[in-house]
Amino acid sequence: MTVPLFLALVPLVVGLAGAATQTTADDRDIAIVDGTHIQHPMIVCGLLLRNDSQRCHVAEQNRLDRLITTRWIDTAVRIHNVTLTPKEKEDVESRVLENRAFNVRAAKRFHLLATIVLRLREGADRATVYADAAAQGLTAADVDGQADLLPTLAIAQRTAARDLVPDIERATREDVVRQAILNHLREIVRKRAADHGQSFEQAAAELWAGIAALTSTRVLDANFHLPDAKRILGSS
Amino acid sequence: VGANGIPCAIVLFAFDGLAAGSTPCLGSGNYQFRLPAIGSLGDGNHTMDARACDASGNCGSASATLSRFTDYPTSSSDILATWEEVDIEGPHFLQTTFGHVWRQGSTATSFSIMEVGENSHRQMRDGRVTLASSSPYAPDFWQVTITPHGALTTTVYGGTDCGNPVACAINCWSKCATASDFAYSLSAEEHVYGIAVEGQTTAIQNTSLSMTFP
Repeated sequence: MTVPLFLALVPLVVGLAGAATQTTADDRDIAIVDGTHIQHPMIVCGLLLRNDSQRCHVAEQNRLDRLITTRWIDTAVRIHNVTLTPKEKEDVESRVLENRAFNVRAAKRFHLLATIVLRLREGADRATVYADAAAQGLTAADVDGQADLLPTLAIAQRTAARDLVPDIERATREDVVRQAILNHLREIVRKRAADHGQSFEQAAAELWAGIAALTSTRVLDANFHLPDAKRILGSS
Repeated sequence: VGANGIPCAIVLFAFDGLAAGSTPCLGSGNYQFRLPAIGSLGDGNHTMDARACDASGNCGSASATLSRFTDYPTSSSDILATWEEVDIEGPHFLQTTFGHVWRQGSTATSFSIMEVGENSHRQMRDGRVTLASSSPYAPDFWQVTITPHGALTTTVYGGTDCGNPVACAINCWSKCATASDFAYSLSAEEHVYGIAVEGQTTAIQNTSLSMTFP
């Protein structure tokens, strides 16, 4: 028996449409590292770049790189028993003090943005809110970008109610600690390179390849790739 | 009038050994001739020769030099950047420091004779601004302007993506601007703005540098 061509095509078209819906789903897995799935919402680019697909993709790859390398660095710290020296610990607190004025200013700005977005989430007139924001030196793009980060009324309320200075000071501490850890890892790689007659870059590539294997890191979405290991520690 | 009493007939000019014009002798002894555009002259000494000749071909000469020298001083600071990333419980703050180096070329021009106005004393040249990171954060987007002060024209130059310095092949991002403004007293200001990290706008500080050129 022969099947009319149009009947045979129908299930095929439906099947493709179903597949397309599934692959464009926003919660698709992008990568897996140490058993943790990195899904697209975890790396999605901010509103600022969302209309520029090329730059948005670069930003998403940068964020994926950072999420993966953060895991890799944590693993390297564990394997090599990296700890901060007392001097490095002191430096962390000195930097928090040094950055205090900037952190307070930044917290004030982000808090102002949160209160403006809260008004939007509470249903205030959009034009009035934007006009008030402009009077305080904030653009519509600033407000829209913040609204993207505070997607619900509850999140906007929580953020607007918080003192953001401690949050930003924690970010300062994390950054200074990470710099110190990276310096320790550079020293480990320099020693390994000297012991094995390798270049710094070769020894670094081997370190990260080993850690990628240990953490079973895989990129599942063909549009993305593993971090460039050379970038993590830079050059010697 | 020459030593032999025959009046001067013509003055011949040469620049870097090549004929650059002539003019009949004038009583005032002041002459003008057209130089190549100073901005087009390379570094080093350039000679300007004048020969005054009488009708019999007896000549006397005088010469002067114009010297050009280009240098590329740098100025630097660390830019502190803070931004937020999406988190289920609300935004999560991140912070990092970007190294920030501005290398600005300029060419000094000096004459062995008086230059009226000295407007060609300094010429702005290529400028390059480089951000560097030793953490896993990369700026997805940033802008820079370079503004000369004291120049004959007021122009604000925007930088565009360009190659990194040799010394910083990894984790660096550069923007360049080409300027050619002339000034008697030149200074310039550089300003980095609009840094976005992982697609998020940042709050930043220490974003401007300035230079004064002697």
